[in-house]
Amino acid sequence: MKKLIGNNPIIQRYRFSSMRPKQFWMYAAVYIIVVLLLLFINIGARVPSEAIFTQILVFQLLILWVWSASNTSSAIREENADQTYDFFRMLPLSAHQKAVGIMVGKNLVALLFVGINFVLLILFALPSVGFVQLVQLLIMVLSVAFCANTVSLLSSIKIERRKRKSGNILLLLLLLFMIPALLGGIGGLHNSRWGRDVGVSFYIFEIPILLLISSVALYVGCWAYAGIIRKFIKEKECLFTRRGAVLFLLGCEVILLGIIGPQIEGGERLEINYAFWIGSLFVVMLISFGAIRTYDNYWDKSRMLGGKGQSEFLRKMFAHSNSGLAILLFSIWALFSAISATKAGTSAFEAGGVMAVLLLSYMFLVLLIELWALYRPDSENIGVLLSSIFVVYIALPMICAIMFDKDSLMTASPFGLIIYLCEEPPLPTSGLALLLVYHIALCIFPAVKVRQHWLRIRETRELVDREQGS
Amino acid sequence: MSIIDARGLRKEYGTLIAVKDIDLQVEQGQVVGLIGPNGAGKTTLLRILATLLRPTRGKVSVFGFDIEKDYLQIRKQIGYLPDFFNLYNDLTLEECLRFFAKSYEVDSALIGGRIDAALDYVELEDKRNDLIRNLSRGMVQRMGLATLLVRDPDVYLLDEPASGLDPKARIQLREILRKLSSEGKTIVISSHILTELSGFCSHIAIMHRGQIVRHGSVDEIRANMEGAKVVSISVLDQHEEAADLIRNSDLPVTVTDISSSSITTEVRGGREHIASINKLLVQNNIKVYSLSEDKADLEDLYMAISSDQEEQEPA
Repeated sequence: MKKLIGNNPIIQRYRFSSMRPKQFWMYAAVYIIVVLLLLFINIGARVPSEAIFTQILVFQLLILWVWSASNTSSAIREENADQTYDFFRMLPLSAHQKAVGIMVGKNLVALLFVGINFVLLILFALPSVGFVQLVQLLIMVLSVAFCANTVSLLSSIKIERRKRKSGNILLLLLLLFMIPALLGGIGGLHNSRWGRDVGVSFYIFEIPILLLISSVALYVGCWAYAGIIRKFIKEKECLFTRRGAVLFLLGCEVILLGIIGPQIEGGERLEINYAFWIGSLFVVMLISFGAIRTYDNYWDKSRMLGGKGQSEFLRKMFAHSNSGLAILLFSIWALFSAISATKAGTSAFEAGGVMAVLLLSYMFLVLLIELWALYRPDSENIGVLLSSIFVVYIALPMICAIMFDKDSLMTASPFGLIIYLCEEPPLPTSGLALLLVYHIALCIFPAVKVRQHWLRIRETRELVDREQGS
Repeated sequence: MSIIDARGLRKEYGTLIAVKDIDLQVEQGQVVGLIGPNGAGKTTLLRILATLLRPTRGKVSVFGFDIEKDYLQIRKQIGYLPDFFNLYNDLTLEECLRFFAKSYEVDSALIGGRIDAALDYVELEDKRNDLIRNLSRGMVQRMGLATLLVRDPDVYLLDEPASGLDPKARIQLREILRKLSSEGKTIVISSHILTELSGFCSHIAIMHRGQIVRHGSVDEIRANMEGAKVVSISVLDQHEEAADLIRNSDLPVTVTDISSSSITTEVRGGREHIASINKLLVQNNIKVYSLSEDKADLEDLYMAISSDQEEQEPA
């Protein structure tokens, strides 16, 4: 602990720069003004302690979830843009020291204010909120803050040298949408007497909502932290190992099914079932992006496969490839989706048919990723082309369905298919067959190109080996 | 045991081979100049030695530690200065040096003294409390060296340390490197500007298209060089007669220049031909008062070797 926080040089480095009197007092002045304002506007309120508590809580969340996450995410970006990242990488500190050093060091001022806010929260909470709810609330605030900080740090780690400081637009947009959701959530919590009235079923257990949110945030946060450590140690490798990808997905599926399962047995079975399918498929896609093996990886693998016959080479390359992992991930997804379909009472035929369409749809995405990985050394812009194709594939059927006022057209897009199934079930057999044919046709061209490229790698490897031998 | 020992080192970026099966051994106290044109693989090699890049193949150890398994141990003992770098602009010079000293576990009691010495070494003592963002490029480059000096590594890996510096800053940098080499530090320094390295490298490794085409001490490489030696002959008078005598002899000598003070020749083959020239001139009553073999500097060696390489490669 002493090495991680007390004697961590990175924290000291940020203390030097962020705690200069001029800067510090500027932040302190803003903080004091905000706190005084909160106290001032609540003079004469009906229950002033609860009103002040709510407002300080929002202030606290803005500091911990928005400001500190944005500080954390800027750390590596700044190192990269300022051309100091090589020095940072060379520091003989453990990956844990680096990760904690950034998350704490970058937020020294924020943490100081957070500490004072916690004291204020406790003071104003005790009369109105109650001890148990307060503890649950604080655990939730800290877990989500941990999650937000680890995810934002992880998303900012890139070792390529970049010349200019580019803002993390995705993160900013996310935050922009998060703030209204955050305020709404706080309003909801306030109305439910800080979660006292709301319990959530998780499989057969009834869990307070705040603790469930905390657990999910901790699950994601811990994986993100493990990802940071991996990225600091194995910089050039993809975020997920095969085992990591499978374990993370299994955990997500267990959590999602635990939350959604009891709902399926309750109300709108079909809609919730398909919401679970799409939600968990989205996680599968995210993992696929985090586990992308690039051309370099295939090239390295080709050395190990030297001397193998063509079919054996292709088989082993497939097992090693992004497509191979995709099949594995999809199998796990299919297993959990089958459980939810059974709970929802969906017919095996319909569930199987839709799963097959979704598998092909997902494989189309994976094949596009594969093309990106293989062709990127030749063309930097291949990503733009491939992502445009994917956007067209997702959006065009929906647009056509609206333009021609024909709902069945939207089934050509996986999201459209789910919407259609929720609104107008069931899909006729002929429609399902047509969709399968359409998706198989979509996958053929990229699959052929991928195969060709793997064979080209094999030929090039043989050529290089021959040259080396001679 | 070599401090740096690279065997069969290879780095591939897709089908591009940046470093091709290199063997390189560097002993304690050597100052090795990595010379080669842009794209020869110098930066890749240095980044591998600095543990920032993983080789595709081959074994590299620094101080006996494997660069892939024990990279943290290696990072503690080497000082690497990248080709393009900056320092933490929001820190003062002293704070920056303190940060590096602490990160590299310099004894707290020693840190103050080390900072003073490092700033003194790079002649930035008067800027101690200035923010790094206020330094000139040359000062940042020297400050970069100071961040290495403050932790006193045994090996310095310097990638084009003089690039972008004005002549005065280059001279200052050379002086610092000279001091370090006189203290017995091991230095591997890359450059594509040969004059930067002449005079203070004990060894050179000439890189060409990812390979080290020559490696050894400057004298060894010079001695192994085949081809013409440049010999200057000074005679009291009769310059033209002396030049004609040489031209008309059977010796493998070409007269390349005649000036009022000397005749410059290129002699192919061994030194016995230089002795034969002397004998020929003296026998013909030419008053020779000096006959000297011009030692090729790094630039000549590099040019000769790289043109050899070009010739050997298939078109």
